[in-house]
Amino acid sequence: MFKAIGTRLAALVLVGLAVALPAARLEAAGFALFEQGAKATAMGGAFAATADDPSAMFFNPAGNAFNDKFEMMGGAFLVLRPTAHLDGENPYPGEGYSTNMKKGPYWFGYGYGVLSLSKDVKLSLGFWSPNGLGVPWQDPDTFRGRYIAQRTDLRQLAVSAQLAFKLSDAVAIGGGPELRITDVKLSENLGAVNPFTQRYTDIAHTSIVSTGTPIDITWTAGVLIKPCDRLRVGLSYHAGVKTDLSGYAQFGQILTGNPQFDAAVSQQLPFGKNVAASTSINFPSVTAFGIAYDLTPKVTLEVDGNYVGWSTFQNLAINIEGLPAKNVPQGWQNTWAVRAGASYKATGGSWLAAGFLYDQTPQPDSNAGPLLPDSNRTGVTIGGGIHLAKAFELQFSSMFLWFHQRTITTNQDNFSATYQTFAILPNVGFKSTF
Amino acid sequence: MKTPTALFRLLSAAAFAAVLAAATALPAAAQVDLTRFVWLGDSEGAGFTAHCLTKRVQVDSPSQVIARANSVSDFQQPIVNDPGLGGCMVLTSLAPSFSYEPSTGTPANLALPRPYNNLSIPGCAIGDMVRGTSSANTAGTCGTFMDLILRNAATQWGPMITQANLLNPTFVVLENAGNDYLGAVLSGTVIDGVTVTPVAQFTADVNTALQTLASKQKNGIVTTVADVTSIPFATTIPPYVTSGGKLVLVNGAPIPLLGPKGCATGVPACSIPPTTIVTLNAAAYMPYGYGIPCAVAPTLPYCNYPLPAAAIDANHPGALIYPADVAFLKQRGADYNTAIKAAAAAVGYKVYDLNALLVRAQAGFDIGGMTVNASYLTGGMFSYDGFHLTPIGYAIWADDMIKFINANFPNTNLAEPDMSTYLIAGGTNGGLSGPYTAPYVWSPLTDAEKASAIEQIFTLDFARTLASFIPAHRAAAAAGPAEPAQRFERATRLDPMP
Repeated sequence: MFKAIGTRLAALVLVGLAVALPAARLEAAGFALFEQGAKATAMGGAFAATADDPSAMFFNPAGNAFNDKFEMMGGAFLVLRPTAHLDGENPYPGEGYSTNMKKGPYWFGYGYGVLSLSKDVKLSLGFWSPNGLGVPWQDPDTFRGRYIAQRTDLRQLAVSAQLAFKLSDAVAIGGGPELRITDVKLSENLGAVNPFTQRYTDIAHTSIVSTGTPIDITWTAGVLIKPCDRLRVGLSYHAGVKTDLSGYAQFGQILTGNPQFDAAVSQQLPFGKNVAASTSINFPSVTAFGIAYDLTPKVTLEVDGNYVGWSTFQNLAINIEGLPAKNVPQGWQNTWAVRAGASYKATGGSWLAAGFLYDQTPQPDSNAGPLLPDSNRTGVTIGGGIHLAKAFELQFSSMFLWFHQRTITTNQDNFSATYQTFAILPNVGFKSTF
Repeated sequence: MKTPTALFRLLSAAAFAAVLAAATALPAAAQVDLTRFVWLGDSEGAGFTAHCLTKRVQVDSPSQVIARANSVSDFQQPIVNDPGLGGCMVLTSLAPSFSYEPSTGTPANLALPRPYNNLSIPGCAIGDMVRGTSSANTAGTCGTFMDLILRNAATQWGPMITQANLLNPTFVVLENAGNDYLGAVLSGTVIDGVTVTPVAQFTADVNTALQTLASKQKNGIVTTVADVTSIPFATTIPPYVTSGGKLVLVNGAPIPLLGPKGCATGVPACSIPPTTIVTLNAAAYMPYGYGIPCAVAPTLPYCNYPLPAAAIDANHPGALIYPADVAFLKQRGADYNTAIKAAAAAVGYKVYDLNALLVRAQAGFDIGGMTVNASYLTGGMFSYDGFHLTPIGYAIWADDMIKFINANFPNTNLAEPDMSTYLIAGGTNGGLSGPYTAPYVWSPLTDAEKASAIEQIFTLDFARTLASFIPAHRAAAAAGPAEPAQRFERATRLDPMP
């Protein structure tokens, strides 16, 4: 039986890798992702103290210590953006200019399995996407921020094996290593003053793509305390990690129509070659505090606070062989997010949940721009689970996320704009209990 | 002892008096009103660029950019229809070489029945703005354009400062980028009192100008003068021999160009000090060998001859500014700016630091990921003549000045311009490469030429063109440098370098 379960877990992880890798899109402030389970998301992400399904691997590893059965859970989010709008401001890109991000949906996945090694010790394997970012601008060749960024993609997958120990009926701890697999893609146009026209002109398109599968190791841990039957207190921590990425930069010439200028440009950049490129990103630590209280045997409330150590993200250094190093100051600040949720246990094991969240942006005005226009955000969530069979629960949730309108006039690239975004994140998942 | 009621009354009266005193002590609101905005200035204020005054660029003069961004409905300029006056330079080859558009522009707004809001006159120094009325009493370019802009032959409205006050201005900018000493750099001849205005004269004139303007309008700005030793005209050519755009090194050391000063007795040419300014005028001489040791270029007919450190004659300007003269010019600029600040303080005008803007331009401005800097030809800030700005440069200046006004005048929030108009489109009318179609064709390069296109800076064509920056030199330059007035015999050449 254990062999069969192990096979299932391995299959889950492999499928999960395939599912999660295409995923990329920020829906927690900065580029952290917090939507790692349908029920947790339905509760606004307030789940560090409840942590009663396998997604506890992310929300609080100690929670799985109280799970006495073999459980598997998986799912995927769609990220829909009915509104992702930019209105230009003077002096640049100018009043009257407006554009949008591409509306094409992003999606990401997660999967977990929990296995009981003994009454008090549980092993769990799982994967999720702790960080992700996708900023694709419409009409990239005419986008007025194209010299800063046309498209930015950052994807990170976490794979983890954890142990959870029930120290008593009231106290559990858990934790384990996390492998982080990261890749990045940046694309932008390069421009120059055309000496013949004295206008700024596109001369090249460049893409910087990380290659290989850089794997970094970090760790996570949590503690869950049940002071009494109706009260639970949770604390979890994901350590930050620095990721060194290497890959290549490609340059494609954009002809201006002037043969002399084009000839001169062709001598200045390494067109048609893959040029070695590298960068480093400091991913933040995430600390979650939660208190859950059972108002009734069927109704649970939870309030969480998340503290994210974004101050580690101070610079984005991009090195391209043969070209001057580019160092983009970030200057991010540590942030808090507040999350609250309520769940209702219906008959037959089904449930309903709803939640609320407020998430601070770590990004200072000086840094908010086409590369990433982040902002504070407020969200409401709703979801439910339906027991379709004894061992199978269909879960669904949806988050409605309002990015607070943000007008930036002090951007370090002198790109002034007002950003408005509204996103909907429908989720479908399952949980199987054996 | 006072009763509580009496005490209360006393306190109330005191409080009322304090409030009244505070209210009356508040400065008068100084909100900037651009309804009758007037700009007095020189070629930079006029929107002059690349050797010409033309509508395509005048519509993006700094004052017009400010007025347009703030919807000033009746801001009038002395527009010259395309192709303008002066002969606009057209870059025909990255070698580089230029052609000139015809200087046949006609005034488009000559009959305006009042003074122009933009009274800037190319070539004028501060004294010309105070006293000049026509070409009859004003020399050079300033006098020529003065007749077009002040129109005193028909109107008798008086000099620039008088015409400004006739408009009953609501806001005033007095701009003087540096014609009081720019001529010293352009002609390569530094003589106080001749090519450089004495400080005492400058101080008197700037005081007269500001007092006259402030007598009509207390809200105003005066600019500092630019450091004329820091413009591309003075910074593009290094003081060393170059080849293919790179320094020629001998034993790891660069080879200094040759000049006439500080040489041993009987030696007519020797290495120039490393802090010597070699102006773009040098490009007219170097293709013939002037300034270049024969050890480097033995086939050039005038190798080992010095670059001139002063004008040889009316058609051959100096090309070197030696360190002592550079220091003198920098000090003179500082003295002018000291005088400007004192005069401004006396009348309550704010001082906008134009010089600081141009210093920042050397490092470059980043606007939406686009970099604009002071590099010659490719920087985007300065035009082909090396000292006037492009529409992009004028717009950057206007935007910076708006920020300055908003920061320094209470209750003021002027709108900034849309820089995409200038950066991407070249200007409101497309800039110098705008709607006027010049009679030239692009010169395609051969493969060999492509290899060195951006490196071959100092070709003969380029030399002739640059020598013609000063209008009086154009005819001579078109035919190539004349025989040098200061000729040295071959026997006096320096020994070849090892």
